[in-house]
Amino acid sequence: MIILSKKDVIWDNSIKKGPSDSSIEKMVKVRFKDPQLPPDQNVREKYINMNGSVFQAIGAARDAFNIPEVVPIALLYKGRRMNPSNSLSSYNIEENAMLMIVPDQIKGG
Amino acid sequence: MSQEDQYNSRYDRQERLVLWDQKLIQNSSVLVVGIGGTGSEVIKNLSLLGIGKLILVDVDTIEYSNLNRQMLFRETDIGKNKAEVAKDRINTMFNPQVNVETFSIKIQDIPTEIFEKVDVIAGCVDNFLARQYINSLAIELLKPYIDSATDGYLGQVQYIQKNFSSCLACDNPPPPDETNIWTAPCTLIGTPRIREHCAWKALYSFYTKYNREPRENSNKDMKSLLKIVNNCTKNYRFPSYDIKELRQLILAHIPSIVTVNSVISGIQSQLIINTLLFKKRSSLKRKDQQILKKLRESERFQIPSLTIYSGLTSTFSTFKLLADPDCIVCGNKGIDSNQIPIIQVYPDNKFKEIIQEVNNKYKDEFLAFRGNKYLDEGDLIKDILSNGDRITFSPLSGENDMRVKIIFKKKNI
Repeated sequence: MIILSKKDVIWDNSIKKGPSDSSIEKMVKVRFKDPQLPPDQNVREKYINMNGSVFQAIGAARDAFNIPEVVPIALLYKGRRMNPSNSLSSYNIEENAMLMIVPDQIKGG
Repeated sequence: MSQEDQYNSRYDRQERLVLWDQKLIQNSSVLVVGIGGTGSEVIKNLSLLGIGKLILVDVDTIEYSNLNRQMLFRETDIGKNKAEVAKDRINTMFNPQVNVETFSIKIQDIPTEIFEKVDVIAGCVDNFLARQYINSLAIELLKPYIDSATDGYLGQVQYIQKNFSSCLACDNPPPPDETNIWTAPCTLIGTPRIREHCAWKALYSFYTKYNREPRENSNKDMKSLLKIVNNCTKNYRFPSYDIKELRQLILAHIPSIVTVNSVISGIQSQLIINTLLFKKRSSLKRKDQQILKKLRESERFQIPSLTIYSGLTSTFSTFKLLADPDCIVCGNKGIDSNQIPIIQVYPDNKFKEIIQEVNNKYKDEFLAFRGNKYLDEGDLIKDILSNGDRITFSPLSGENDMRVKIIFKKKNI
């Protein structure tokens, strides 16, 4: 696990409240994969804060691929859809883990 | 040409396929919920393929805005029920041999026996609530459920089958609200901060006054709503709305294009066929059974849990989704039902005891799963299960899974 600056992650306001286990940034390098892009361009690396939420990781994924906010996306990790309100730490994400980007909220018929 | 010759000739080209068994398809039934953009294409495909029985469910009537993509319907059908018209078109335009049954009522009002008697359930609905309902029922009845959804240039097909993949409720937060009326109470009561808030306030006022939502095709409703909206925009100095803009904003219809619908319904129809072939594989000719086995071993025959298509990049991506063992629908915390068989056990015993009881009771050999995790008979029951867990037993010889509820005997709790 690598501890870095808050580069590439959304600022977690709880950090201002003083030191606690959850306010320390634990930056881990992950790979985001967007299968909609050609195979040689669809994986990008990014550092994310393991003490942040899945919602923040979705923000990092958007950043990595310049996906606009109007496109709803979700992340899959090891075949499981990640719930945006959960903390990233609950998923035991390892260094270099692959997080898949999939469209979200498709409901028309 | 005799009737039999006509029948053989109609399906000649597909009967040349390996793994194909026209009788198997003819003896199958599919329940299709939602006869809209994807649903109408799916039933067209299945009837051309010679499916034996289709059960169509749709409470909606045909509107002008359907005619850009729902090829079963004509201008003269406006106002008629979709399922009824679709039944007529299927038999007159595509295949008179298909037995079509229709239900022009809400999915929640369809008797459970209707779901029980079909081989596959195909969901082509346009909202999360109907999807969640079908999902729950399909899991409880252990029926394969193939759901499709589109949104503009994007579309997806999800395969749901207990023990095989995740269900629609696995790892998902609760579905988004279907209407904006209830999403922001403070906006509805307080001062509108943006122009759109006036529209939500007006919709809420309309709902409160008439106890229903405005009808899209009623000019009277839309004019009444527009009047309320523009009173609000005037009071708070926002630009006023016109009817077209208001209709698009409030009714929030999902963008839909026939090309994406065709692709998605094609994938969904093929998945239905693959599911039937796999589910009824014991009816295939011996040679085809061996071919299927080899294809599966080399991963040339697959049923992906999620397929996503983007019309803008012309890409398909498939994913295997794993079930959440604690899913409120298909997992440990599953749906309550009084019909499910109960087995009472001592938690300190080995899981083998449960397996033996089920084997003896149902005269077969079973494998057991919780979510899609295999349960080993050598493990202690208390290590792998909790009191009240629902687990699924798959017979080694047959194809019909069953679910059993485990109750711990009090003495050892």
